[in-house]
Amino acid sequence: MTSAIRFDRVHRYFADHAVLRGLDFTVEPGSIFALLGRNGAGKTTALRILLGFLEPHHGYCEILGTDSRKLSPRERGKIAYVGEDHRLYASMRVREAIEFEAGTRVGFRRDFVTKAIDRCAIPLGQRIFQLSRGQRAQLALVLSVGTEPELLIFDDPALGLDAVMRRELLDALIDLLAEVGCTVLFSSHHLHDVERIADRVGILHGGQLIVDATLDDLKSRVQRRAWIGTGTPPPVAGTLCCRRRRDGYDLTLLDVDATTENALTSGGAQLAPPSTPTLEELFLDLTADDRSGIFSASPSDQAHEASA
Amino acid sequence: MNPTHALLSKDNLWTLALTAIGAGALLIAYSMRGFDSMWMFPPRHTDELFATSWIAGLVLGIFAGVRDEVTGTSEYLFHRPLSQARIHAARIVNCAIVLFAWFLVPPIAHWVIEFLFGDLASFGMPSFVLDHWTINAVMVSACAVGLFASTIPTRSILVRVLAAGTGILVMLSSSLLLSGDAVTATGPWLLVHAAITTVFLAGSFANVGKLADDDRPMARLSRVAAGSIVALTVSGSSVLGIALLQEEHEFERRQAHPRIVQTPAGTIHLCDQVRVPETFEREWLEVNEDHVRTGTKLPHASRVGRVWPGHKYGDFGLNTPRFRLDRRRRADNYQAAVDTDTGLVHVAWSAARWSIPDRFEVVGRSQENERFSDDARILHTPDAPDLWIVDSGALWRLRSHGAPRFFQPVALPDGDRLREHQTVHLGDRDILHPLGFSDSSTVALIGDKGVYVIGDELRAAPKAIRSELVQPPSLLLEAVDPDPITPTIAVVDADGEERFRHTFELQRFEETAHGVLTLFWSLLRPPAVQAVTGSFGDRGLATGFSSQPFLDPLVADRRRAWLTFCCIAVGLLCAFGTHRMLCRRDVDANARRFWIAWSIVLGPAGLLSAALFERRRAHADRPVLEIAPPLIRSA
Amino acid sequence: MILRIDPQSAEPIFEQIAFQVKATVARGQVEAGYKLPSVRELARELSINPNTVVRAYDVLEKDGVIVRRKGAGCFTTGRGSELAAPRKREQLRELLQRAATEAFHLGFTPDDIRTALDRALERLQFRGDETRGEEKQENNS
Repeated sequence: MTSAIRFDRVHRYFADHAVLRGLDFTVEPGSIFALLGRNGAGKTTALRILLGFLEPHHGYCEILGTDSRKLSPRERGKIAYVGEDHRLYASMRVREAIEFEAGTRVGFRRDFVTKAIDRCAIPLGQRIFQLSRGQRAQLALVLSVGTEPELLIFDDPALGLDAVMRRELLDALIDLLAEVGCTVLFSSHHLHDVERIADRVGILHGGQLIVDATLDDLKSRVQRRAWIGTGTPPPVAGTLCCRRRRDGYDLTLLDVDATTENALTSGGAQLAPPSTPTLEELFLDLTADDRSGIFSASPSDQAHEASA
Repeated sequence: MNPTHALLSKDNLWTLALTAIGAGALLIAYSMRGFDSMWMFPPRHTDELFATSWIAGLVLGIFAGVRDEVTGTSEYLFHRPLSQARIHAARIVNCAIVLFAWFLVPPIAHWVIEFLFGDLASFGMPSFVLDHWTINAVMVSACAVGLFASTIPTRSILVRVLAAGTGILVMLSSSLLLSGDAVTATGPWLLVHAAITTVFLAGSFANVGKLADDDRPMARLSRVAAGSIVALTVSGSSVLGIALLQEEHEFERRQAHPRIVQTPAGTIHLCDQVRVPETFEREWLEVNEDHVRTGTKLPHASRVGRVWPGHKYGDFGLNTPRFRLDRRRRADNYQAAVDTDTGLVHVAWSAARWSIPDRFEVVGRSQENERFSDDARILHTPDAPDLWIVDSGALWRLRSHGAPRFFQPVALPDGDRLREHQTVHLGDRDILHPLGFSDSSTVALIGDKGVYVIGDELRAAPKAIRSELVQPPSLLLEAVDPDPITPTIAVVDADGEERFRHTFELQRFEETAHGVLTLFWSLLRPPAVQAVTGSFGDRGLATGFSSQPFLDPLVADRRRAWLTFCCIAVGLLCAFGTHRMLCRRDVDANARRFWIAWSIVLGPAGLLSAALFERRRAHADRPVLEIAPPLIRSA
Repeated sequence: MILRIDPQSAEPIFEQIAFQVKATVARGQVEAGYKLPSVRELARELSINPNTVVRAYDVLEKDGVIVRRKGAGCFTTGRGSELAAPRKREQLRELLQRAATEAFHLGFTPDDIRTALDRALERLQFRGDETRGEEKQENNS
């Protein structure tokens, strides 16, 4: 069965800066893929290339089996897309927006959408620019899934929403998935939600995926262990991250086995029992720089302190 | 709701808004000139009505094209199971709706005003709406230009502005093309604008659906369409600029030397402009033995211009009134013009000057309302209530009130025939109205046997007027070859024999400098146009830079073949420069060939346009990077 | 049936669900033929991916704890307590290990710990089946 989405070594530059440096991953039909990354890591760029709004410089991007640059209108009808800003025609009333969607998309289920909007407590006569951010996000979402899409692509759908709205959005998505069973690709900063709902996670960093794994795999293969000993911990294969703590180091390790443990405990060092990092902790380990904090003293000050 | 309806109704708000604003602007512009102008005296290109309609159309087109981009909804619209062409077609339909509304509003407003405040003018008849199309043709083509320019898939505002600027050039050129005998020539005007509209609409379809991306080359079709248009615009504007400069140089050159002039009395004099030492001003002195330039090179003559023959609009055979170019006659109580096709006179009578006309009629001569000949001329008669026309030596008159409503012949004393008429300026003396304030000019009719003036009635002209009449000169000063740098003049006598002929050379340093600069600017003109202009001889194309900016008088009529070849050489040089520049920017071969072709045809304009369009950033070869596998990967 | 999940625990969510169903069945808190919530209901209730619920139900079906009836839903079979046992034993082991370690760090001797454990156990009522228990009334010690 062909994959729903396939990125094949996609490169994309802006001026001379490489935003995507060979992005390569696949999303299987019926699964939920969460694309994570820091701000500016290239998530939106990747999604725009996927939808054909941008062309890659090298590589190839396939969506529902077609080259993303050559998407026909009919194929677009199978994809639901909501951008970061939930952009709609601000001057339209809600019911006009429904009519617009109904008119321009095939198989739009007007009753379903109207009922869903009612449940969101959004008045039909209100103009879209008068809606709150959360209401607009919900509206955009509901409208986008008004047909029965095969593929949902959402760029940070919960951006700017409070916890209640986010949960409602999540619930709405779950309802939809339970009903229709489509493929979902979304990017998000709310890793707790991602942990609940994603099948597979990709972390975009430095223009490439540094993680492309199922959540279950991440839970089972990644460990966090405190290392206490003199000097620095020996470099072992599978060390994802090593952070200095007050006494000792915190190691994030992949696929730990007996040899790794032995290597780490050599020379009298101690290794604490393993704990599983949450997705957020893993994300931080992999993508944050090891800085002491933006308000703390600079390294030169610290050195000065140390020598004094 | 079907897709078309949905696409149209999403833009309801701006459609309505623009309709209202544009209609308002048009109504204001019309009311400034008088609504009757809609029917009878269509606008010229300097008119505010023309400008209003053109701007309105352009704004409409631009707005329709950038609307979704500005509100950020283009992706929302794009991501839909509808083809881009369809979405664009809906935009065009919306524009058409607005244009149609603008077409309807002024006539309806006129009819309403007439209905409420006056008689329904005969000119209000639907057939005369055809004239109204001259303005609307302008709006439609401007809209098409705006739509094309605003949809070019580029992030460069400059490119889009240049493309929109084509519209100005098109308007100017079409006006130039259509200047000549008839004021309206509605038929050709409509055809030209229909062609412009078609070309630009087609171009706009080539634009939609292409991505605007700074980092990738433009789609081939868009480059061909937009690139060509921009190149032509750059070239056209540069030619206009060059023509202006050359005109300046020519003017300066002429100021720097003596002249041969023909006075109203008919005598020919040699005059020199001399600097007066005390004041450093310049003064004209007649050259005599004390102050004559010696040598074989004689001073220059003043330039005598010639009018380009122009088109024959009768060729197009479309049935609209065409009025003679020689100014609409306007007196205190009427405006009148002769329709060149029907030979009938259109008159609008008003109670007083500047008031709205209350009577319109179309009249001919005699009871049968026969047509006037092509030589008929309306006489301007200040303070005289009636309308007088001279035609083939006979005089006709139409009374302002009362029967009969056609021109009646006026008998001249002794069966005289009129030879010509002149406008005589009287200065402070006004024989006809010693007590009143009136125009200090009047019309004198010169017959074989006497001179007459017209007022309330036909009278013999008083001596004061007769003495002001200009005699036909016995010698005529002609410009045999009006070359801008080295013209040739001749003096011809009444029998047509040439008494004197001379070709002028550049003599003094100032003249030479200006002449050389004029030549230099010609090198920057489009080689293709120069080549074409230079191949036609004896056509009288060279009339001067300002009247014919695109045809270079320096090479026209087969003058200066060397200059034509130099221009072509400059074109080839530019093509080479384009090639080098584009190679440095990593532009692909197809695009390179396209721009080299334009550089050969247009010279520097092609090079400039290529530089503008093909940025390094879009074409640069980006490296393929090493891909490290993810740190954590599931199967 | 009350099901709770912890998305941040080391255990995959589907396994947590499967285990809890098995544990509930094993405790006898539901009788055979009990209808499990639909995929959609459960996904909604727990705010998780319906696919995950489907996986959990697949595991349960494979292990014979539930049976799927087309058009009707998923029903417990009443079996499965033995499959939950090894898992529960592992949990017990972990629990006690942790408690023992903590108590050790607090400075208690093994005897102290055993006494405390006995007392805690007395409070609970155990039936013949070792895997069930109920809280005793708070009337003796």
